[in-house]
Amino acid sequence: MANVSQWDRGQMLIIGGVLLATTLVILVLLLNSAIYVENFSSRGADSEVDRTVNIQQEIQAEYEAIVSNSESDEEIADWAELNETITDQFSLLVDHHHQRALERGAFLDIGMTLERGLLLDGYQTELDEPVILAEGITGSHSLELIINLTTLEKSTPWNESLKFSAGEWEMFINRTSDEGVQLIGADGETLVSDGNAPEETRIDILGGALNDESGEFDWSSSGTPPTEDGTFELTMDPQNEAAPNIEVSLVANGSTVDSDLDTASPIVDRASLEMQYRSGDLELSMNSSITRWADR
Amino acid sequence: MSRAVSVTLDYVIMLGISTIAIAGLVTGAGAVLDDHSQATAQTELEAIGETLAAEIESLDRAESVGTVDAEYDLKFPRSVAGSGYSISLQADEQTLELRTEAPPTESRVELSVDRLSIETTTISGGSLRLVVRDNTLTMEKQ
Repeated sequence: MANVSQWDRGQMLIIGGVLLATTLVILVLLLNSAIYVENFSSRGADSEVDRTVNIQQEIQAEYEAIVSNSESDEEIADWAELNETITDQFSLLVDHHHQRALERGAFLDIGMTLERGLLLDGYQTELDEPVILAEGITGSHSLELIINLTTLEKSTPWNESLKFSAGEWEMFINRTSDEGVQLIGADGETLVSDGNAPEETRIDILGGALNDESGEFDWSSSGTPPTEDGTFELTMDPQNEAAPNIEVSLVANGSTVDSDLDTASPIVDRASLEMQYRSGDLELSMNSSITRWADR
Repeated sequence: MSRAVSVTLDYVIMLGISTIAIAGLVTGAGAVLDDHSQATAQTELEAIGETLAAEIESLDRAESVGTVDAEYDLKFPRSVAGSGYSISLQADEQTLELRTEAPPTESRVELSVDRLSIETTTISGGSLRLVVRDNTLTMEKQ
């Protein structure tokens, strides 16, 4: 006779085993899903792009500090020396970040060029490039160039020296906190001298026209059109620590000519930063620029 | 009670009950697994979508610092809940849409992209590459 109670126990064991196995499988699936979701949700906070952007912003802030410290260094005499100092210190900064990136298994390099220019309507113009001040003024028998300089707030003593040139014509404006304003012609002759050095100076520089044949300004009040196509180009070049606001207007035949330089055009320093970043998953190049008013 | 039935009948009854119990368990577990599979697929699609959206938005934020060119490789599972899926980047609606066929599941993630232009693309799920060129974001299958 068969032992019925043993069959019962066997079947109960089978059923119990199947139930246990099913429960385990479901638990494993649930746990797996939970871990997977948790892994994904925590990845977002560690985006490699965000890390790279943070590095770039950190470098920009450090660059600002370098420029600020260099500008307040009274031993730095001129723009060329200031540029060299900033560039050298920036190289050290880049080396530091390069090493830090290497420790994380990534490559990082940043190039920097520092330029001085004029900011016209938000766009920077090179100082040694002529700015078109007016077009279509053919036939003008009278031209008047008015330059309005406003000294930026700065510690004394200060000294601004700007060269203005249009074609063959050129003129220097020297402004110092001690000696005031001087207009000096190309031959070194002092044309105007004002020892008051007002904060805002409005100077009527020219009362004449550019002779397109001789390429020189005719200082008489009549003349021929400035160029064949009637374009008047002006170049402004700081000679030393000049950093005023510049407002230039051209008056042709008694009427002010529309110009990009009608509005105040501060001399600015602009650093162009080009970052290259490479890691296993990310290859990123980022170009940015920092424009600031030149303090010296 | 055992004395009232034969050994054979007793054996058949026990076998029948066991079969019915196991069949019930398998059917029940199958239904539970199906539900769980769909829920898991939905959760995974949402997780993948949110992760991908976060990376796209981080590239967009990078444009606020400067002009960016980038190639960014991202690794995602080739399938969710045992099924392949598709990822659609929709330019008009600024959304990411992720879909599986079996089980039929869909997840939609809103994108907050202000600076980059988006190129509408649909690729199959798995590893992909985000490319930013000339202020335009594209998505490529790897």
